[in-house]
Order: sequence, then C-alpha cells, then structure tokens
Amino acid sequence: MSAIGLLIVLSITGAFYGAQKAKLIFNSIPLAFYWYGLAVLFLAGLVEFPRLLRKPGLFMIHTGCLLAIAGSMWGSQAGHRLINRLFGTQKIPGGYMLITEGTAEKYVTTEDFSRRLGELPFSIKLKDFRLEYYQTDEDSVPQLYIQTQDGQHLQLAARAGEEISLGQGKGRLKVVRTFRNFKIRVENDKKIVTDEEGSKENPAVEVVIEAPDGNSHTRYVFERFEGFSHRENGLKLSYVSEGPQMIRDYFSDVAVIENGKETAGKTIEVNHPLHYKGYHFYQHSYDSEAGKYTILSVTSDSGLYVVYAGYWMLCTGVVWQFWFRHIIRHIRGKNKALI
Amino acid sequence: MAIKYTFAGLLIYLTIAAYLFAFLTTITGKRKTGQAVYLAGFIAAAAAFAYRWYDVRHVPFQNLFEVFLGMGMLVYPLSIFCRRLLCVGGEAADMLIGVILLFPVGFVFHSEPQMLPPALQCWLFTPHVAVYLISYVIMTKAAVQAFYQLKNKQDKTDNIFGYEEATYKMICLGFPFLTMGLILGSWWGKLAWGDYWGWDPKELWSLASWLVYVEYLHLRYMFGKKHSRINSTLAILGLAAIVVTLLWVNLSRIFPGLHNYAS
Repeated sequence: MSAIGLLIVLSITGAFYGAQKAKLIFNSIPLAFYWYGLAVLFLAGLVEFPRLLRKPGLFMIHTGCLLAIAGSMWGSQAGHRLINRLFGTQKIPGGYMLITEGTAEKYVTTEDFSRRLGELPFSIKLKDFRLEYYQTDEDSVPQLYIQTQDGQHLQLAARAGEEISLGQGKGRLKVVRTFRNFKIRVENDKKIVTDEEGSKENPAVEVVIEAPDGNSHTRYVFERFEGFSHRENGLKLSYVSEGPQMIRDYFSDVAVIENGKETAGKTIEVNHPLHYKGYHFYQHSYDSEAGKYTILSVTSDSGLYVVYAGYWMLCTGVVWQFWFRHIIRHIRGKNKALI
Repeated sequence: MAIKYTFAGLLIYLTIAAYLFAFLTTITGKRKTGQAVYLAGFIAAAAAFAYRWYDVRHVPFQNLFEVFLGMGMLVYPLSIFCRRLLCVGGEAADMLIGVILLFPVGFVFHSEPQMLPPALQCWLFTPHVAVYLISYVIMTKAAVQAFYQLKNKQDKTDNIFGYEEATYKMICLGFPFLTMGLILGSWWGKLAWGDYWGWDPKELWSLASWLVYVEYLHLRYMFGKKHSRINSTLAILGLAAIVVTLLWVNLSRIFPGLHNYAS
C-alpha cells in the first residue's frame, strides 16, 4: 500500500514538471529501481497471498498490472539495450525519419535529425504526401478587400461573377477570375496571363473596374505582392486567397523496400500507423511550406503485446471482480430464495 | 459569463431550472413531484446533448462545455440505476450535482463548435471519454456518501445499508469504468502518438486518481469497515484528484500537454 502511496505522490509531482521532464524522472535510475521493486512486490503478493490466486478477478488484476510493468520495462531504452546485448540484436527503441517525396530512407534519427540512432533492415519510401482540410464555410472563400477614395472599406467574395458598387457615381468592381499561381508568358510579343500548375506560389485575382462613364479597366491584385495592387481611381485593393483552414488529416503514402523489392505499402495517417517487422511508423510532422517531405516517428514494438495482454487482464479482472462476481452471486441468491 | 442565446442554451437553462426545482421539492418532502421534474430535466439535457451532436457533427465530447453537458445528462440515469439496482439513494444530492455540473455549461464555458483535430478522429475517442464521464459521476456519488459518513449524518436516504457501505458500492461500480478509461486512453495514445504512456500532466493526474481508489480498495479489502473514516477520506480525495484531472489541467496554461485541445 505504501508503494501505491508513493506512486500517487510521484504522479502528482511529475504532473507539475510537464511531460518531457516527467518522462526523464520516471525513466531515471532511482525510478527504475522502484519499477523493479513494484514488479517484485506484485510477484511476492501473488505467492504470499493465496487469495490472490484463488479469486480469478484478483489474480487477473494483479497479473495484469505485473505484465503491464514488465512489458513497459522491456520496451524501454534500458530494456532494448539489455535485449540487444543479450541476443546480439540491433533493435532501435524509437526515433524519427524525414523522408522526401520520391526517396527512400532507412536511418532513424533524433527528433532534430542531428544524430543517427540506427539503421532499419529495410527502407521506407515516400510516394506521396498530402493534406486534407475541412470543407471551408462562406467566411473562408477568397476575399477581396477594397478601400475606396473616401475611405470606405468594402469586402467581396473573390469568385468569378461577383460584383460590388464602389459608391454612388463611382462605378462598379467585378471579379473575373482567380489564380492559384499567376504567371505572364510572352508569345508573339503578346502578354498572356496564365494560371500555372503546381503549388500555390502566386495567388491573384483579376478584376474589372467599370467607371461611371462606361470605360472599364482590367486589374490584377496579388496576395503576396501588395505593392503591385493598383491605386487607380483612388482604390486600394488587397486579396486574401484563403481563410484559416483546419487540417482534417495528414496522409503519407509509403512503400517498404526490402532487398530492392517493394514488400509492403500503406497510407500512414494519424491513428493509422504502419506496422512492419517489429516497428510502428506514425505520422509525426510534415513540410508545412511546400508539402515535399513527411516526418515519421518510429517506435519498436518490443514489449508492446505484453503490455496489451496486461491491459486486457486488468480490464477483465476489474469487471469480473467488481461487477460479474456480484451479479452471479445475486442471481444465485435469487434462485436459492425461489427454491 | 458566457450566456448562450441558442436553442441548446435554452435547453441547458431549462435543465438547470428543472434539476434545481426537483432538488427543492425533494428536500421539502414532495418526492413524487421532484421525481417528475427530475425526469423532465433529464429529457431537456438529453435533447441539448442530441442537438449539440447534430450541430457539431461528431459525438460532443471534445471540450469542457460538451463533457460537462454529457455528465449533466448522465446524472439522472445513473441516479435511477443506483437506486433501483444497488439500493443506493441520495437522489436529492444527485439533483444538486446536476445543477453544479450544468452551471458552468450554461454560464462559464464557451460553446463555439470546433472541428475534430486529426488525433481525435479515432473510434476510441467516444468510448474513452464516455466511460470516464460515467465513472466521474459515479465517483461523485461515492464522495457524497463518504461525506455524509464523515459528518456522522443520520441515514435519511433510502439506502438499505449505511453510508460507508453505499460509498463502497459506488466505488465498486465506478472503478471498472475508471480503469477502462485509463486503458482505452493508453491504447488510443499508442495509435495516435506512438506511445501508450506519454507522462502528460493529465495522464499523470488520471493515474493518481485511479491509484487513490486502488488504495481505497486495498484498505477496504484488508480492514473492512474498521477504518471507515480513512476509507471515506480516500473516497473524497479520489474525487478531488478527478476534479483536478478534469478541470485544472485543461484550464491551466501551466501544464502544457497532449490534452490541451480540450481546454
């Protein structure tokens, strides 16, 4: 009971230090002794108190806790070092991989990629990385902001065909088209405006300003080059191509390359890691500028299934001990009363 | 103050009023009226929860507004379950718990719908939060019974047995839910972040609350009712740890962690 009390105190203390420091504290050498001690206490309890062996619920609860602790110790950094030394293996406990689209990577590094932690017996190739956004609402449609000569601020959804009055006797402004990547090509001494394929490098909008006298002028408003926005007719125009969009999910289409052959493949996304030959690969981060690379976190599965077995035993044990045992006793009692 | 001028807000205020009225009528001896109003309050809470679900298009367990609304709704069915099947009363206290849970929903927490970040789009999200909410309501009932026991109150509820036994029964009911919440969260952490245990402040507080009840159960198994005041104190401390887990870590900016999206 004092071991439980100590763990309560340690947990609360650890919570004040934040996750990173707490992880270091709970993996430190004095705490390693505590975990060993706790595991030994569970074993001793099972041997010393026959009741724990007789009652299936209590047995499962205590064995489940023991397995969870044992599995965690096996999967820890120290556990990996011990297993590697004993069995001559080279399993990497965990780390990170930065993979550029179209290339394969087999080295696991630290989070800042400054140091290699090990080499996997296979490579992971990134075929494609993509993001999926939540569908935008009306507020997230590209917007054109207009400041008129008399200081009036107007806003217009930048969609082809949208138009707005610039004030009485001041004409109208009409949106013609929007560009993801505005470019000008010269063909036969003629300037041709195009929306080039590729990433969203130069968002722009084409507008027509219709003066009250019937003349009209075509103007281009650039999101990233506001200086190019025309102040003709006293109008100041600015363009915002998208509102704050929320990412729905990240997808990394990867292939496992082993001995020159593609042996497995998966689209890794959050909550859907790739599991291959003792390692899990998780979507960790990505190239937020151009979307050209992905960062995967790698973890070894050593001890994981022992932890899961412990979880199942613990869960089954508590349900048996605190619910089913009482329900069965209640039903038996009722049956006896009926007899 | 964040007053809600919405349909869901109206339903929440109706529930608060109904639970409060039910509490007042029950303590003044009009139990049947209290029961009827309590049921009406539950229907309004369930309607608010269902409307919120429809509005945000995912199970509304993402933030404190939704979580407290869920608990406010669960109070009634758990209260009825405990009275009918476990013979543990304290319904008047349950009604007041409902008011306390729904007050911040109606007046404190902001209710702007939020989209689910990628990590929360997992089938484990709903069962993980649901079992925790159920356990929290049950453990609150346990703490109320423990408080009565410590205050040496006469057993005026319809408990067949004393407050100490009622506390134990409540903890026996709630502890498996608490355990499942912890384990489902750990399993989910492994799927989403690669670690079944991240030493996050909220994880550590939830472990601490679980361990307080483990301590209680060991003490109860070893010594029975011999140290009933210590048992009751532990039951109250368990609830205190739950409150910290649920509120402080989410609201505080001091403990950055994986669960801060819920603030």
